[in-house]
Amino acid sequence: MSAPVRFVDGSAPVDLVLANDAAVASIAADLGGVASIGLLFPKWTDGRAYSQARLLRTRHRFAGEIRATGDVIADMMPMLVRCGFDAVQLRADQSQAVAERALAFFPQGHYQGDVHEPLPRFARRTEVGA
Amino acid sequence: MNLASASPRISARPGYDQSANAVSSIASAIVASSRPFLPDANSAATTLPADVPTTRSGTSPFSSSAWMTPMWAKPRAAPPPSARPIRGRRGGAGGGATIGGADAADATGATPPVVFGALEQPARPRAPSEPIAQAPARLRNTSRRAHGDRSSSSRALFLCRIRHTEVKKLWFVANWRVARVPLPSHERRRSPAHVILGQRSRHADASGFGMYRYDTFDRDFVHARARQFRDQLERHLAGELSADDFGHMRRQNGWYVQRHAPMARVAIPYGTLASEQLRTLARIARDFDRGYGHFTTRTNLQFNWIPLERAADVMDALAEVGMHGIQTCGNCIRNITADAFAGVAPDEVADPRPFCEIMRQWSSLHPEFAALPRKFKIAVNGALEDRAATGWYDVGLQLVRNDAGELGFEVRVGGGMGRTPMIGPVIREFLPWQQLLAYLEAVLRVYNEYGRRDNIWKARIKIIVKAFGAEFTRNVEDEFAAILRDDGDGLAPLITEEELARVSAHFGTPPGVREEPEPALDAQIDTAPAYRRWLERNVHAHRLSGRRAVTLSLKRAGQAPGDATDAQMDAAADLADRFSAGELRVTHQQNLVLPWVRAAELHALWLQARAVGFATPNIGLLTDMICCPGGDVCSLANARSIPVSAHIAERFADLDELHDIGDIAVNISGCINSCGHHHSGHIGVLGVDKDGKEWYQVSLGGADGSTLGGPAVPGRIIGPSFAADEVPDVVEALIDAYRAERSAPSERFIETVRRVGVEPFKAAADGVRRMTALHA
Repeated sequence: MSAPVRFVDGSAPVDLVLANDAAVASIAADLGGVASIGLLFPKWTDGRAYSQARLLRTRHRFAGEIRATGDVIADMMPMLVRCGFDAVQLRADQSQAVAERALAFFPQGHYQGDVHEPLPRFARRTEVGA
Repeated sequence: MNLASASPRISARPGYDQSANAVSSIASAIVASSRPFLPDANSAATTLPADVPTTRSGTSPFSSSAWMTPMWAKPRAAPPPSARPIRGRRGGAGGGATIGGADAADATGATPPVVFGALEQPARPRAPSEPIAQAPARLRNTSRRAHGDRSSSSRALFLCRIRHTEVKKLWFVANWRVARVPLPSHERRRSPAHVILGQRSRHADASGFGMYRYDTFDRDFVHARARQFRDQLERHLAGELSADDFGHMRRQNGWYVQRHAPMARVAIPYGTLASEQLRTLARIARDFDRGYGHFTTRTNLQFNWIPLERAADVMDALAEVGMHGIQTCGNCIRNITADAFAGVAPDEVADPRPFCEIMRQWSSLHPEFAALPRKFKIAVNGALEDRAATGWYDVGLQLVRNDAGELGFEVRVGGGMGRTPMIGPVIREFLPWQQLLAYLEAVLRVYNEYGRRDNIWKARIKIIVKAFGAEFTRNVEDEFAAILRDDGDGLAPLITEEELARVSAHFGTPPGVREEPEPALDAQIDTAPAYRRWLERNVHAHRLSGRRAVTLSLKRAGQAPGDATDAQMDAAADLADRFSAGELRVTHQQNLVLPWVRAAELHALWLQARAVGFATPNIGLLTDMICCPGGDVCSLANARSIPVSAHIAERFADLDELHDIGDIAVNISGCINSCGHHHSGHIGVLGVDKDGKEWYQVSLGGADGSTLGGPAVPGRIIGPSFAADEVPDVVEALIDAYRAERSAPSERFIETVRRVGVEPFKAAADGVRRMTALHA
């Protein structure tokens, strides 16, 4: 699941910012020319953007950049990456080194599928009863 | 009985003749075998629960009328610096761990939130008469399991009391059982697991470990989580991670900050424990805590005195035996609960544990649902009787078979306690089991998107279920359809036959456990009344002939409900090894169950259980109270629920009287967060805070959904709150009123309340008011 993720500062703009309470389906028809979408975490404990990102990737096959903005902390990295974010604008007090380390705690992967590994563990196991 | 005489007293009271319960047991026995199971109810007065030895935890139960603080609730040493109360006041408002609520008026008692029948209650498929009508469909397939003859010895299985089961249901169960129970489809031999695992046993039902055993992935996973938590803890202790940010992380690992020290909540998935796991919990209690733990209504175990600095060490110790605190707190999918008799109950449609395990894996660190508006709880029931309180959960799943005999779930969404007690409505009558995870993802995605985040009291899913009604269901169904249609290849979220078979193979019947002839009845009967009472209350029917499930009561004089010392945990683990294939269950009534006991060894078990204080014959009786830890340790609580429960238990120490009163659920919560499930108590007691003082709201007629109490419903509050020292009097007055009003000794408390209404009870309770005497 070590998908490449880019750490960005606020200087590079995104093509589109989707409000935290907006339905992804409302922009689905307009994704054609969009290269990057910014999703917002008003608080890092507000997880709506996880669902938005996952829907953009899984249901609408959005291939451009999805950037996490707002109250984004290093410990969110595993969830962000697994839901399809590939660009992260960390909160000012957060360390990029810690964020990168946060991605390395589960080398064996996870139980359920995500945008990089669409199959849950049980469906991708090669050896039953391991 | 004269209500006016209902004054506080501790001595044994007159009024019992025959135990109501014994009468019904005899009736059941006659139905099943045409000869009585138990001798006539013992009418000799027993003034004390003789089989409850002194334990080293807790104070003397009969010492005084002063409020009693359990020993464990008193810090034996100065709390560590980190253990200062985190809030300056005792009020729970604004606390972190709360259940969603509604209008404040709901909590005042001025307007009871729900009256009987007012809440829409879709008909359950398990109405008393219905299972019999459906039985033929369920029984269409025959199994290879060699079921015994129809002799009285095989029927003797049912002589043992089935908790909360009416006579007519008992009849059904008895006949259903004898008439060959079909194996669940996933246990049939032709299923893929038995191609793979066929070498273990040719007999699907006999295979399995009895419990889920971690494989290397599972083990690596919990160790990885422990490493991640240690990293977060160390950054926090080094000042690199703020208390606020770290708070959310530690909660999702089971660490709350309590009044004196952090509380560690260890997940016990679907209440299933191996003896070695329980020994590890005992060791943690001994080495890291103050020598005890508390089993909760959500079948978890809580430690109250572990310094945060040692938290990571505890997580490592837990990981060694495949345990963890993942998602036992915080706004995420919590530990999943199930019927404590899953896999052993004779009235089971299908074993819920494989589905619970599949959901445990699916919900563990699900990236999309790591930051929900509020906590999210799932309960699963596989039996005809709802023993998992599914109506009270964010999602309640009931295993059912459709007309074609296929297995699936009836799905309830939006139940919950707290300020707005609600019974979750059925939003899907039949969900094929293969689609379970996809459907749950749809429910959670709708909740994640629409759940309220502006008000913690309105953030649970029940609020949007109630607000949106049919539109909520439509949203979920639309999302569900889109998942199946548009996401991935459309197969990913489906549970495969192979996976269900693989997980199911972990359960089944443990090695060494097999059906055997029922022992002769006479050999089982010890002359001691305590033993007969224990058989009557604590021993439960089993799907295998010659086997029983046995409840070890954690409700005994001098100890808080649900508490167990390290020595008691070790003793319970020893009993499990000796009598129950090394397996235990935790019930949502805060007791332990040994699920695989040989009927021939019941007496031997009783002797040993009694020696270590687990044999109080009070399961389902008044002293089998549900109670949260309360204000002694919990920083959210308004009131100290443990002393209240202790005082009530003290009033009803007489076993004859307890048995005469019969089945009743007294549930006590220290605050509106409802950890003590007061809403579902036949008598519910809720601690409330008024002007900085402890008051107690009493409600009547709640039900958790089990057969005994009828459909799940919140209780009705009976008038203004009572003062703390009035509560035992109130309970006593309510019981006296019940005995005066009941139409027959066999009419249970809840049935009398339903029949005559709350008014006579309200009047009786008002009659013992002193400090809170009504002015109007």
